[in-house]
Amino acid sequence: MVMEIGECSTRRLKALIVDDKNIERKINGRALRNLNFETVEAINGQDAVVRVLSGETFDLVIMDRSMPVMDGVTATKILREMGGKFKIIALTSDAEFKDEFTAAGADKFFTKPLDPKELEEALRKFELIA
Amino acid sequence: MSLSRDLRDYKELKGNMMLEGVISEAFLTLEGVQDEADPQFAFDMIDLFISDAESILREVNNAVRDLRQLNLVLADAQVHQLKGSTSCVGVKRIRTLTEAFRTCYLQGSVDGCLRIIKELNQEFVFCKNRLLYLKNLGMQIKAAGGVLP
Repeated sequence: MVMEIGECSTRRLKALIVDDKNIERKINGRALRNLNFETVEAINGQDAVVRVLSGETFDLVIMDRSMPVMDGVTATKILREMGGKFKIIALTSDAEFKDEFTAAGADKFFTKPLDPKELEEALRKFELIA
Repeated sequence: MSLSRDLRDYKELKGNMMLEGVISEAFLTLEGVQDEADPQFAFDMIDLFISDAESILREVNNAVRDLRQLNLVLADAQVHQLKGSTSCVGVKRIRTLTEAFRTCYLQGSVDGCLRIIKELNQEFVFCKNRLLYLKNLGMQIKAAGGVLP
């Protein structure tokens, strides 16, 4: 009997967490790793853009708003102009920036702190997780 | 006997800190995402928050040290950073003050800004002590083989 080796199982999804604050990258990273994402960090919007320009691919981006060098709204706009098809979840302390983020191309907006259950629900709706 | 007392104390302390506004559901969320591979995640985040907040408050205090050359723009930017950090652990007491600072800043109330900065420093010391006490008690319980409530 010949046994055929099947193809590799589904690859692990990859998320880019963009925030200038280490504590927030750690907390949001933990929540995503619990959902079986591989996580990568960027310390500001420019860092995120450079990563994508260099060819790194992501399934999801968690984008903070207020960051030095390049803020989250600007980075979101640039990433979309570059053709980035990944889902972008915007995260900010103030709900007043929701419209700006949406206009820039974010798919979802949350105010901090990010609730892991709401994150999971959003990722299900995006069909990134089962 | 001591472990069961510590567990009771920990539970009571957490409840009191919630009522005091030192922690909130955000802290419970942190406990919820930790696992066997990372059993001290919530406590590590307490340490990170304290370290971040100390650094931010240093910048804020430096920005207003010289009354003849106040830099409230810088202070406002730093206080906004602090607001974000407080959300992670749920330190509502400090978050409320960051919002009050923003209001005073937008109204151009220098006295109000300076008063709130003073309160921020005082509140941080209070919250830091409570958070570290919670952490130390939690670590003590874990070291004795207990499971935190």
